[in-house]
Amino acid sequence: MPSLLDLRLCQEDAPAFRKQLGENEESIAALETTMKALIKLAKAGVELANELSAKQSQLAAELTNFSNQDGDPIVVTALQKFSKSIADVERSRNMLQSHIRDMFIEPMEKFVREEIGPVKDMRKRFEKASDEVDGALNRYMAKKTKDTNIEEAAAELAIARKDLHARSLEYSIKMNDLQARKKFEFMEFILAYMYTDSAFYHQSYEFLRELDPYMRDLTGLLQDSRQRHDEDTQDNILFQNACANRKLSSYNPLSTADESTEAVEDIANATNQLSSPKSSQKSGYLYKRNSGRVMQTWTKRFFSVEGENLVCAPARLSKFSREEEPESSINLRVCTIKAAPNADRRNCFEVISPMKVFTLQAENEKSMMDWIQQLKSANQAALNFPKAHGSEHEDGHHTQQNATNTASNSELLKQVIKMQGNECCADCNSPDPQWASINLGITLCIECSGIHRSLGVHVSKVRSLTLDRWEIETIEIMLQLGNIRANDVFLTSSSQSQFQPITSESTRSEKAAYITEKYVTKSFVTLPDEAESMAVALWSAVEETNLVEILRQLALGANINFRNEDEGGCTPLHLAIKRSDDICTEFLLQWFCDPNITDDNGWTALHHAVQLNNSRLVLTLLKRHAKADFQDKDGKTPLDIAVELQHVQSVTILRLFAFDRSQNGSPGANSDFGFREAMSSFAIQNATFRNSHPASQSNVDLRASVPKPILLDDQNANLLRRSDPKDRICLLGLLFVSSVSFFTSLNMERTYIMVKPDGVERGLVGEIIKRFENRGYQLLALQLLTPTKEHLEQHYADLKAKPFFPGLIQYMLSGPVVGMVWAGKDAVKTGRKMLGETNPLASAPGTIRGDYCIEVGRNICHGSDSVESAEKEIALWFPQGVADYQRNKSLTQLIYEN
Amino acid sequence: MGGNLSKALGKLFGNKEMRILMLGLDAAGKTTILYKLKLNQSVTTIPTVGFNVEAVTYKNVKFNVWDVGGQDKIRPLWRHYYTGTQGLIFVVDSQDRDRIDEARQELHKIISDREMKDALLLVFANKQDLPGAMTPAEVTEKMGLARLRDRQWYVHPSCATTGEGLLEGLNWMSQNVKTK
Repeated sequence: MPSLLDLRLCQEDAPAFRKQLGENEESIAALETTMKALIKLAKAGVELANELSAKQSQLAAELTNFSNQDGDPIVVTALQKFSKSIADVERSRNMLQSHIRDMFIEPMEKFVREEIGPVKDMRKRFEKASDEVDGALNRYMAKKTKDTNIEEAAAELAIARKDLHARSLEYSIKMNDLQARKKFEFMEFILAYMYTDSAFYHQSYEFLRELDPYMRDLTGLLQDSRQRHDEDTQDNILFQNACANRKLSSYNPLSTADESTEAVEDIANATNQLSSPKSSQKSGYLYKRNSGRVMQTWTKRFFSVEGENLVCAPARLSKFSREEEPESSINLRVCTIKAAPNADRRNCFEVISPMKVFTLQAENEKSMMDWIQQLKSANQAALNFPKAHGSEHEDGHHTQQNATNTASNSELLKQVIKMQGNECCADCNSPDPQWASINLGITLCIECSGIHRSLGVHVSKVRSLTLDRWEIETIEIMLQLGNIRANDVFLTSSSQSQFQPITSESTRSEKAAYITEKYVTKSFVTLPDEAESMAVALWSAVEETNLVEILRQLALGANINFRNEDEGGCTPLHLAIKRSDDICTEFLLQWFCDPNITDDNGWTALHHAVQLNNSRLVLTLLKRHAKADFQDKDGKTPLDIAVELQHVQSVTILRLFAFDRSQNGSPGANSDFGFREAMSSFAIQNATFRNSHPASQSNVDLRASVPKPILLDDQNANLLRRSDPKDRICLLGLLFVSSVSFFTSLNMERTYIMVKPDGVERGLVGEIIKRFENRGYQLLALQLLTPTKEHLEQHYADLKAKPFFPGLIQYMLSGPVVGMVWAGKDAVKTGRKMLGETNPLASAPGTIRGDYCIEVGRNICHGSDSVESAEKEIALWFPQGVADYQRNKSLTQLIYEN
Repeated sequence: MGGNLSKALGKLFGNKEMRILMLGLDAAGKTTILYKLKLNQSVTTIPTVGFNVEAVTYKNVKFNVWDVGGQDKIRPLWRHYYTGTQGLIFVVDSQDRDRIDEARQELHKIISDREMKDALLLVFANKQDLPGAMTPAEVTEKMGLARLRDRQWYVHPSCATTGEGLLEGLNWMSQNVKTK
């Protein structure tokens, strides 16, 4: 490395200085060359790196691409991870390249351009100045002593020398500057380069190191795969060999022996292959008949049973088929399967779905039988699988109902099945009975259940243990009876020996004869010595909730409806109700006791149930057609009693029930207003606090007249239909409240209007009806009758003390009257206004009395003065009840705003 | 080919074909009716889990009768059989008063389905031979048939075991079916 130039030597310009200068020049030139070479190399490197980066990125993309095609999760994740890492590395490589450009190449170029470039100019200027000094010196030195120009030459030399000195200084300083800066600035560039490089490699290393544990895992996985593959290969060779050794007959569809399948199974077992899919599901090729327009064709299709579906797939993916035939599937739950011996091909069977009949051909008879068997069992399994029904329903509420019912009761049902003796059919002893007779409390096989059904429900009520919904009471009856106890009742007599007991092997007719003998003729029941005792025995059995004993007495022929004179003329049903005995009540009703028999007070069972406010019993009785409007000795219906006692639940149920009746009796009403759900949720609700305190703690006074809701707009009905059952009861309740408030807020009322004898006589009935009709009121009832004195006295009971009372009654008795009930908004008050003042003279023209009469004692008509008295009068004049119908909705809309 | 030709001939000679769906609560007697019609003999049936289908020809009309099981939990499957049904036979156990309301609800649910809007409705008040059976009039009332609008319906008493009333029912069906 050349030494620094001594600036003091500039002036002297000695050869040593020149030499030094020369060395410096060389060194700078070398620096320039080096830098230019570095720049060139760095640029080339960047270019190459970019190219590399592009390739690497392509590689990463390719990996991702493949991972999208390959389904294997291991492969997918591995490739995606790798590709991501590579992409990361490439990203940082790009960063490196731009760093090199910014931090290395560009600054170096700048340095060469701005720092080294000017040196050359300086050198030229220095050389030029030096030449000039030489020239001036030569000229000066050559001058003769006498030359006059010597002065001039000297001056010229001086100028040249000064200039040279300046140039030389400038040049030397620049040289020194460069030499110094070479030490740090240049090295800084190099350092920046190295740092950038190092950062890149470090970062890349980090990226790849993250992958390391995963790569190690993957290595393990790959080794496993290899090993499995090796084992599979071994197995395949074994399988191949085994197949090669199979007899030709096993491929022959006509070979009768089981060899073919057995052989396959053997091989499969030997190699642990194919066995699992083979055994669990039926699948295979069948020929399917296509009913073409002209010719029948048979096509080969691949069929498989998947759960409750039979899936039909095209034979194989063919390159030639122009349009891909989609897989189709048939829901076996709605299919029936039978052999089709009359088909035009051999070994055919039919899968009959509601839409279509599929005729399928199997290779041989055995295969056909196997298919039929498999499909039948899949069909039965699907039907018996309760969960599947959930998806079946579109209107989810019903399902939910079913589901909840089943869920809460299925445990109990299981107990029924598990009961000792119930594990075999009560009549023929076949194992695993799926059916039951609910009034006999026994379990039955399907065949015996068929015979039981043919006897009629008065003998046996058959239900499926799996396919029917069960009420809790029914299950409890089953739990109390059961096969052993029931048979104890029905098989007591020695005459049994005449009839051979049946077994599962017996023919259908043998079974039918035996079962008829057992339950209808009751031949095997020993008759008691004294008939008298049966009623008493039945009574005490009910008192003890002893169902077995009740069943025994009924089997003996006890009269289920006998009235016990010692107990106020109560029947066993009355007794069960009074004891709040759900199960006994249900059981007696199952045996067709008459729910409408009255005791000495004229009370039916329903009266008692209402008095107890036992909504479960009320419901049970209503379901069995107990008359809700049966009047006792005092003319009170169960509803009257419920209202009187303020038994909220009973009132609600009775009103809902009446509402349902009226809905189902009127045209256009949809059958299902959620009544059933409402009722059953009542039952459920009640069941939960059945054992706690009575439910009617409410202080709501229901004695206030609640008109029947006759207007149910579509919205409400929809709401009811869509809502789930739990909400439904609330909704129905709401509906009641809202209908009540609808009536009260809009004053939708009923009023009793009566044309008095003078009005009838004068022929004003039509006029009065016309006015109410024209006004828009709805006629609910109309009758002409001649009232008795008592009747009128009751009607005018509030006027009894008045002096004009006898005269009034006299006048009212003078002829027939026409009574009618009108309904509508504000009917009571407006009705009175339409009639006019009580005193016709005070009535405005335009009112009925103002138009047609003069005297108070001949005021032709009567109208209720308040909502309460209207309802009272309606009840008095129309004890049979009034019509409850809806007028056409469009008409209603023409009269009312909403 | 054969099928189409005979169909064409059938049309020429007034042969009709009718798709009939037979529903009702369990143990109403549907299967017994089906096989009485098909085989003219009284068979003791077992509960139908799934369905039976048979073709019964009466007075030149070929009735394809689908008899679907009626247990509670398989009733939701009924709707799968609605499509194309021209006549609905709803069988009622006239003796089973306890479940007549249930039967009414099921019937109305079926016929309110859009697919069933054009189907004729024949109600068999079955098991007339049993003690305490409801009369056809009673069945009509309890089934809420009077309030049906836009529906041809007919109630006929029947006794599947003896076959009484069955053919009269089919006769009504065949006379009222609209030929397509």
